[in-house]
Amino acid sequence: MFRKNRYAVLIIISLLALVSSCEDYYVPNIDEKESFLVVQGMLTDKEEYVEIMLFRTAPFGKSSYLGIERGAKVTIKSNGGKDYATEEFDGGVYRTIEKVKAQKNIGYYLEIKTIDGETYASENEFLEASPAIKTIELLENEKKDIVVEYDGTQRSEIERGLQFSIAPEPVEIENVGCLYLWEALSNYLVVAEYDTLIYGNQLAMTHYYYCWRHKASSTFVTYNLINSNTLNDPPMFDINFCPYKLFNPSPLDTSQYGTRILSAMVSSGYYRARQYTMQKDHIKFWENVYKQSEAKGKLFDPVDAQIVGNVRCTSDSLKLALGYFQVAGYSEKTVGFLIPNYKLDSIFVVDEFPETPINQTFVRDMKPYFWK
Amino acid sequence: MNKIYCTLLSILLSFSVLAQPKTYSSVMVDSSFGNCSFSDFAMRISEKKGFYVLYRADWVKNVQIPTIGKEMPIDDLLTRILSEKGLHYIYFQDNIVVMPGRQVGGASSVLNTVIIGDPLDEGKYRKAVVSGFVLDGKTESPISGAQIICEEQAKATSTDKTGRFSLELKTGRAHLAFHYMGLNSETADILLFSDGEMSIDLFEESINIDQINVLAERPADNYQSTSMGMTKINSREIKKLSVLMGEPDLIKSMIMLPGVQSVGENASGLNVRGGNADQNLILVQEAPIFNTSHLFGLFSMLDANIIDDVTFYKSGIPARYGGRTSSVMSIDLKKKMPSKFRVEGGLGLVNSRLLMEIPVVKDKLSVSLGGRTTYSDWMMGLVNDYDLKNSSAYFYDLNGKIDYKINKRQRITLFGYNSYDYFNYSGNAKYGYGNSLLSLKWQHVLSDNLSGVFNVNGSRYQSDLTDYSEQMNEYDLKSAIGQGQASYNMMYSGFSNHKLNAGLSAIIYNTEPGSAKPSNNESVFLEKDMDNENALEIAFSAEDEISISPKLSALAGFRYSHFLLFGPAKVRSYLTGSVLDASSVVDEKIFERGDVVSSYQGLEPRLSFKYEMGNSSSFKIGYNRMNQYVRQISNTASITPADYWKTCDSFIKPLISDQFAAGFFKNFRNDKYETSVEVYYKNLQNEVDFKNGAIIIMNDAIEQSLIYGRGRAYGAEFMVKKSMGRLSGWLSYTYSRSFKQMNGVHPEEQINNGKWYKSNYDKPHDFSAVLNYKISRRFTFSSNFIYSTGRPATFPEMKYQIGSTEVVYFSDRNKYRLPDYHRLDVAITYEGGLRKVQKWRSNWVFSIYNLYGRHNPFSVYYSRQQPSRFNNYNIYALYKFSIIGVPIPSFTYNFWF
Repeated sequence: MFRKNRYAVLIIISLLALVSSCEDYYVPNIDEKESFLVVQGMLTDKEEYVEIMLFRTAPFGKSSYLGIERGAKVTIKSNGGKDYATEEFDGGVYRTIEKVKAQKNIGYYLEIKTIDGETYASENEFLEASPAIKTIELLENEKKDIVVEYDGTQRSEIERGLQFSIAPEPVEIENVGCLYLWEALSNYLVVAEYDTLIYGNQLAMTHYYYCWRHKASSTFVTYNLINSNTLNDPPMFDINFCPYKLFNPSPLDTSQYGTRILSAMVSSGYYRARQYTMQKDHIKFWENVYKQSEAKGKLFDPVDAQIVGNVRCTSDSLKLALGYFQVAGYSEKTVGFLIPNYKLDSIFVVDEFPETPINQTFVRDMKPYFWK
Repeated sequence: MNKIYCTLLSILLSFSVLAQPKTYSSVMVDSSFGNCSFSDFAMRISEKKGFYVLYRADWVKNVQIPTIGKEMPIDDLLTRILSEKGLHYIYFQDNIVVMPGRQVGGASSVLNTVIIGDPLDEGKYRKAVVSGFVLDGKTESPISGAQIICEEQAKATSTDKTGRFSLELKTGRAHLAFHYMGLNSETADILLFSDGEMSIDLFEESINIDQINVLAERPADNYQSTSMGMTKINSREIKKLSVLMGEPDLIKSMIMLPGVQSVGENASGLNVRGGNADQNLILVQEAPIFNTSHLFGLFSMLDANIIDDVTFYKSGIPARYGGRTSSVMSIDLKKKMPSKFRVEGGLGLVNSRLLMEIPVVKDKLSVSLGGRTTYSDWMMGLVNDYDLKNSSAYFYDLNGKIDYKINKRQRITLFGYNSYDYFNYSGNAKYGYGNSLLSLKWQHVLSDNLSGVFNVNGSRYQSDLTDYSEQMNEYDLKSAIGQGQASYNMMYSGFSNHKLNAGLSAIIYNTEPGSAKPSNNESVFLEKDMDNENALEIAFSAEDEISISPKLSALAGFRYSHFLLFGPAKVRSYLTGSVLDASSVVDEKIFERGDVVSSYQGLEPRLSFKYEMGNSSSFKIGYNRMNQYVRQISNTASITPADYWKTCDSFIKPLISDQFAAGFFKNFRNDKYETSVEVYYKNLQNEVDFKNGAIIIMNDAIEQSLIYGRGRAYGAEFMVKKSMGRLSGWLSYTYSRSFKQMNGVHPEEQINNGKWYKSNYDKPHDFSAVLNYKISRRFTFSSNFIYSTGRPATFPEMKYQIGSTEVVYFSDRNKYRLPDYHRLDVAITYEGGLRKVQKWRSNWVFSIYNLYGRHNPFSVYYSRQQPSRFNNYNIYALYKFSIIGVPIPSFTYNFWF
């Protein structure tokens, strides 16, 4: 009898072992929460139309899509006596009817009335002194980076490229930080020829294609300015490293050019840094967004952080609202550079980042003004 | 003759002896012994009968032996002639000793009496001190923790680590009882004249199925000991604890005690009374050990066969211990010197072990060598999980001990230990950690009442982690802590109602918080090194165990500690009143080697009272303060190879714990059943936690990631034990809470808006059951069941979009909990040879760990990945990772000869 039971126990154990696994997709029993309003908007001291975006949260772990908030009434209020109404420009995107420029010593806040009758307001925000970008420095540099091959395999290689750094103007302010975004424009020349029949003669025609390509930051960089009233020697912030391959024309869409491509070479580029100066607390918000977006579920991940912001539901204090309406000092600077044969040749100062023709990526046989 | 007598008497009475007297009632004396002086009579007895009659000449100068007509028993003769002269006699070590005064009690009481002190001192003293040793009768090695009780005088004491005891009693007759768990108790009637010594041998109990004890201490300790929150388990009990994975497991058994909780499934460490795993001081032969587990908690780091006893303190921590705020576990190795070459081992499906004990010079010098290893890869193959199938794990540990008994009063023990654990998770990550220990202990008795223990030791714990999950980002992370210690403790028991203990210690800490570097040439990981730390902690402690009255006793003491952190170091200074972050750094000060970077000091008082209430019950109350100068920086609740140790510095202040505890202890049915209820409240200063969004690993400005606050923990512990009989075991339930509050001035320095929140180890309900059932002489069934509330966790509650980035909204810190933890283990032991005289002994153990294959979580983590049907089309998904989500059967053959 005992022997029989012993075998039964062993069989049960074996079966249990076979059906078990150790890593499970896990859906915790999380409090059911209603969908909360998420606000995102930024008013700067650059005169422009201001866009405020309204979203809705979705419960974690459910396959629901992130919603947008339509039909809301959104107003930028100021204690300078002027309010700025908006209209729904696109689904969930509200744009001021007129251009707005933030003024110093005037508080701005957002007032929102959603379609469900709830009202929201952001905290009163002031424009901080905004240091201009004093210089953009670029240096040739090397960096080990991951290269993804066409077949998906990865390898690392040391890449050459340009390291962009920024120094703001000396300031006498405290508790501010900067958020940076960048964009680059690379110019390259494609020489191609095609055969044509002119009066019965087959001739090879050569064309020069003056091409350009835009690259922009997919994420942002945040920096805290050092707290000091005597900041005579501002630090240099490394914004990003652009490998030369970023300016590389390859792969070429040969259908756009002549039948035979004779050469394709990079010529020059532009780099624009956008600097948003805001209170240090606001920078923390962006820092946390940045860290979370970089988290991979690994050891070096940051401690889980709530990213809240400065918007509150005024009609129901228990209702959560997320996101930020920020007032920021805006500054930008553009630098141009020649990089023939992927080697930094010279740097030149430009006033503005070039406006490229809309819906075009090249001009044939006619050098555009921004093309060096 | 007088000289001979005095010499003999002094030899016999001065040295510790236990009378095992013969009676001479059958010894007859005839006329050849009569009509002479007493001295002649004594001489004739020694010549003809082969034993001595010892006396002092001036006592017997007027004693004349009359003519003996008819053969008569010597007893009758001596009783008659000595009583006439105001004398009497006793049997003492096969001899007859003439004593002054009238015989007290009946003749039988004289026969078993041990004489302590000089009989000439009779009536000179009202009280005298009995001191001596309690020894293992088989090996003559000292037994620590044996109880010596004099019931009629309501006095009791216990032996110290050298087996020595000291007890003040009223002079005259007294009855002493000697108890030690697993050994036969002994009693002795003593006749106490003045201070003197005695030793007693206790012998092993014969195997009796009606007396299987699994209890920690002697049952009576439950209410008799002044210490509270203390559990002591000796080697015999350790072997009777639940045998899982083929061998008894010390740490797992400790988790079954009330107030002690597992950190998590297969996680190293303990949570004691709401404290973190780094708040437990675990000492092996006085040397600290930083990770107590193999294979992430599946095995204890020490082979139970090398352990003599384990003392575990949750409160009422003796003053000589310090440096951790939650508990102290002191593991003492076998004191017994082997009398012959002995081998003990086990061959199992998961692991094997071997221990050899070699008597180099009998009772003088012995060596023991042991080791364990595992071949547990097959276990991974059981799991229906690709990653675990492709994982591997192993460990080894080696230990060696040299014992040298210089003389009866001095002993030196040198112990060394080395271990390494390795776990390769599916080629994604490789974890390794190892402990190394070296300890030299010198125990000596300076005088009858004074003994001391000098210890010098070193310990090092190192861990490494290699992340292979992204080839281009592979890195190797290493960290370590080293600790060197020298201490001297003295015990004095010369005062009647006091037992004094005082000591000095110096601890050197050397932490290597981390270095990370790319683990292959392809990796783009940036190399980083954190600065090492060097610190010194010096401490002085004193403690007195006071018998205030027969019912009331107290334990009062203190430890004074001084901590110094030395350079080289870089210390940043920050804008006053500002949040500590990179932007508020105003200066950086460089400290050279030997410069004092920061220092802290603190007085740690200890006080507890015991009041015995009626029969077999007592009420105890106590308070203790503990300071902790090193902490483990971890982003998990359990001890993992990614954690690192860090000393206090200019920013991280010592953790200070004040614990108040009270308990009621009651035994029933002659200590067969023990019950206890204990409550405690703990207040913690200088608690730390991490800021939201803090980066923890390889952060050389860790102060910018930490926030400082306070903590509190409270709870009630209930326990019922059955210590004897076929069925033994215990049930325990603990209700405990543990909270923190981080309420800094700035919002960044607050967690959950400055409100109290659950600590990572707040697990309110904890129930455990330990069952041992002796089915027959050969079969023993044992089982453990454990349940505890899941530990707190922070989970994402919502998702939303900022710019083009999808982010999640996390709940308040530790708002949720991981799934509850529960597990059932069973084992059956089959005893091989039961004959008392058998060279080769063995048993077979079949056990199943996690019988019903519960997927207790090791961790729950979230990761960002491509949305798919597997993660419900979410960019962020949570995963629960259980290391052992299956039943693990194990079959082990244990042997010893």
